[in-house]
Amino acid sequence: MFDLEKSIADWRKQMLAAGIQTPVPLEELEIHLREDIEQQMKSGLNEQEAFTASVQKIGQAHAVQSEFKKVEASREAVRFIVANLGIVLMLVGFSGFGLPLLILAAMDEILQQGHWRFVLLISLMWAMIGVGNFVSFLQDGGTLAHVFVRKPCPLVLLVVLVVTWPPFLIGNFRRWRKNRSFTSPLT
Amino acid sequence: MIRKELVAASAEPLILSLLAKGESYGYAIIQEVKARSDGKLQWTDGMLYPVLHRMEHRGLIKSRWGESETGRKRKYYSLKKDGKTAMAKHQEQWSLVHSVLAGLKKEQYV
Repeated sequence: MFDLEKSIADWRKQMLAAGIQTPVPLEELEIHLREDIEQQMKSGLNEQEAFTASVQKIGQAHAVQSEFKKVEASREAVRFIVANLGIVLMLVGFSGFGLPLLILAAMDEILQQGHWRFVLLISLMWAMIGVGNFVSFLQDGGTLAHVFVRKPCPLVLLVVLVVTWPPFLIGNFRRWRKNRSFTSPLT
Repeated sequence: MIRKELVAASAEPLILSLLAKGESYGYAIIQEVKARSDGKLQWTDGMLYPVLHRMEHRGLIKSRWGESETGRKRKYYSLKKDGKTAMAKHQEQWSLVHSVLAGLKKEQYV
């Protein structure tokens, strides 16, 4: 006996396995699938036939996912610029402005992508700056609050810049250029 | 069937022009394009959503979650100001191509 709910659950698993993110856009695709199944059944197909036809119309999971990836890439580039601006502001001593930008970029990353790669990266940068500041605090004294608001020591600043920036800037810029002018095949 | 490249190039102007009539959602957009082209412009359903998301990301359209008449959750898309400008530009360009083609075709029969 054909079980529509189980078949839809299996389809969801396939989409997830291909890398389609949940809830967005997977939920939107599932709503579409259910609406199409309903329409197909109204035009005379049985549950199983309607399900098969609708799944085919939605298209291959990996093909749809590769299109979504292109969208995410341009968003990634914007997010990266915001995050870098935050880091620059923090490096020159404006933690109060820089940190919110970093948090904004990180939140967007978590909400959109659902993973923590980017968050780890910026935490690492922040930690390096923090450690550098803490070392200067131990050497020069002052209040503990200075660890978070003062400029980092030049050596740490140099390491952070040289090690982390160029590869990410170049990578993001390339991806952004590649995807800027794409038109989706749609078929 | 219409060529793949043409289908891809016409997706954005078609979506913008459709949304200019009022907000709509993925399923309805596909149905309307299909109906208006006598089934000749047929998109792979799933491929519409990356296009919509990209247009939203570029600030041409915006979206909101709502409900259908039957209480089903739906994501509605509508045109933003930049989308209207983009639509006008698209329409101007497509009209130009069309008028050149039509003019040439006319001359063939003179």
